[in-house]
Amino acid sequence: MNASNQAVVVQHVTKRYGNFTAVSDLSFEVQKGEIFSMLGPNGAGKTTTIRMILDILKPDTGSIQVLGGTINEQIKDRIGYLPEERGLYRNVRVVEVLTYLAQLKGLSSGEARQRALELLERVELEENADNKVSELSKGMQQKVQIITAVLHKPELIIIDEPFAGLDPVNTQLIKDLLYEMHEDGTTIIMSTHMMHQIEEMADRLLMLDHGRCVLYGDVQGVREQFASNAVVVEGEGDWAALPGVTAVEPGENGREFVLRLAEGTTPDQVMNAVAVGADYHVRRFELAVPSLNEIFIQVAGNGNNHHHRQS
Amino acid sequence: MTHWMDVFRYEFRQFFRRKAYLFTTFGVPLIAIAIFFGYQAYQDMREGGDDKPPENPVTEQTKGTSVIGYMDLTPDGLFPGPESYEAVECSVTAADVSGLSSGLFKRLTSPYCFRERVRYYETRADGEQALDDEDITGLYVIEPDYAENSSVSLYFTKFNIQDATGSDTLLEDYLLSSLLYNVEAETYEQLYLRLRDPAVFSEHIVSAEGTAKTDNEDENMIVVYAFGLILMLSIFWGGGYLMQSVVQEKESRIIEIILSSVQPTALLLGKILAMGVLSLIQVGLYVGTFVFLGGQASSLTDSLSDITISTSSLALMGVYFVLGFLLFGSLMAVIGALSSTVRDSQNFVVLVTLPAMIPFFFLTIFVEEPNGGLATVLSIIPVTAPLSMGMRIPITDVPGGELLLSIGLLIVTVAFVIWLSGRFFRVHTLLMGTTPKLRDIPKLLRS
Repeated sequence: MNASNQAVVVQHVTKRYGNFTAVSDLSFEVQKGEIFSMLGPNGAGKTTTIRMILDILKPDTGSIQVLGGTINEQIKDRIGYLPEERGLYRNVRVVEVLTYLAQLKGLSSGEARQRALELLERVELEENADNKVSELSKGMQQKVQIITAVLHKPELIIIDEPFAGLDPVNTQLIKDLLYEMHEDGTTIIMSTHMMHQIEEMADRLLMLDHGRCVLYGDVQGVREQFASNAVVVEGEGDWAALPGVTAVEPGENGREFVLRLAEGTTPDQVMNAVAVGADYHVRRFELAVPSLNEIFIQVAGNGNNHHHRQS
Repeated sequence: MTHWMDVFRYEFRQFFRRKAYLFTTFGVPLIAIAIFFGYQAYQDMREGGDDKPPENPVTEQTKGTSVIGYMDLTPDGLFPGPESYEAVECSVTAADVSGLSSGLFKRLTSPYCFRERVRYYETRADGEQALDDEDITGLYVIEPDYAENSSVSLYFTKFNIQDATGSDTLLEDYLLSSLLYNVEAETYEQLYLRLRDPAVFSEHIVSAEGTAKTDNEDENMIVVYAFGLILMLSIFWGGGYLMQSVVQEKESRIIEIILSSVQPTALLLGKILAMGVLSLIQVGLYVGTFVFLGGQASSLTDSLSDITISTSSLALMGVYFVLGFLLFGSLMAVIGALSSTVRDSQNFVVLVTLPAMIPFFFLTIFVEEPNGGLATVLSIIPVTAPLSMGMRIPITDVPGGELLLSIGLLIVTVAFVIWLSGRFFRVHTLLMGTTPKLRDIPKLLRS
């Protein structure tokens, strides 16, 4: 992989707090322009990893390259960050907070203010620009916080739990904003517990557990990696009579069935058999791929199984 | 280290606009000026409201408009009424200007010249009637044993401390001029003035080297108290706001966003400078107001008339203010960094403010012995140096070597404390959500 295509390169990074190892020999890369997701149970080392990428914490061993070099003040100006535990100055006007935080990212006062007003309009908060932060609802504050991370048009956005506390309408609003930036070539690293958001948005993922990498790769590849030899069908017919089907189990919604396949039997062979069988009516036929949620529970629930899978 | 200027500008703007800052910085001096001139106007009104120069030494020495009465019960009738004395011209005439002689002073202080404000009553009934009619504010009865015991009784219907003080002085002046009426004009003035003010104290402190230095305690006490108070309030105010600003950023969790853009040292530098400039504006206005009012007040109060502070003293005090602010500001920032809530931080503030205030507890010693052992020691210890020197410099010449040692030690301490606050700020802010215990401090410092 060409180094210029990598937004973040983490190599053999370890971070300890006294006797506690928060991150252990962690290596991964984030490609430029992708949406990369970090997930893992509480205490897995996600926040520590993010803080090390941002140079807030120094790794004990290993190296981190961000946007083509070792992080410095100029590179920091090209990054947008929103931590999980976040807040704003409560007694300051919204537009002033945004302008100040953008100035800390290298924008001039006028430019920062102009951009702040544009983004406030984008998230339908233009009328609240001169309100104090404390006068906003929690959801409104969340939107303002998101703006702080994207206001200076960063090349890399690191955002922890971007949709926490947002209602569905506002979630879609922020999602659209992130997609828009993604289309403009911005790299997005997001840490979240909302698996469906990862499945929907992320190109690749990194799952951490006890400071170690337990899953790393593109989202679809990871799901297929955890897929068992089975298919999900919805329709009518004698599913058990199909060749190579060893068991038929009712599916989650009551209308579908999971067909367990014998070793050596492929889903394609089953689909062919269904297609030629006159007594089968099929409305849906797909691989039985587990959701990331199921994978997350499976991997994170098995704390002692510290293996590293890469697809 | 970038963005410290952005932090400085933001903090300055935010705090400058606060109502509390605007009130304490501009409101308090304006109120002080308003009260001062209001009081002056009230005084002028009480005294007749005109600015004409005093007519003669009697009215100058006994300001006020009150009229008093007296009865003389002495066996020899020592004090006849003013009208019984030879009539004289009680104001300075053009003819007097060519040569002010000692005879002029005696003329102007003649008992006759008291006639408008001192009334003689033959009987107690007349005097009491005058009191009832409010013709006079007090009735003095010169008792028969006056010659032996200086006994005088005062009768009044309502007590007013200002009237009482002025009336007593008026009667004393009248008695004095009556007693000296027959003294030769050549010696009258000196005798009158000496008896009127028999002793004006000027204290001389004998130092270890045997040299003597004259100080004026009244003025010094006012200056030391005022400058000590101004320095202390401004430093603590600025430091307190700095601490609050740090803790609020921690409490609101915005600190992590800021630290992803700015180095902790740059953040601290921007904050300390902003609060320092704000405090400097405040202390400048306070000192300016004090010096201005001091100059104005000299016309009212003699003790303020001689207060002068040289430019070099003001510059030196400026140096100590800046260093003092950096020291206490940084210490307050350490407290802010170590506290998880504003309430937590308040518990630790006393650890900084109490040692810094030690010189204030010894105010009297600083006034009496500004170059004494205690003042010298407290001026060298960095924590007490800013306030000690702030109190000493306006009233005494601090030896150059002592100044160099004090400033040098203070600079080293300030540098150390700024470094220390940077260490605590970074580590603690991010890794701990609670206030650390004492035993955790070395660990935080090392990490």
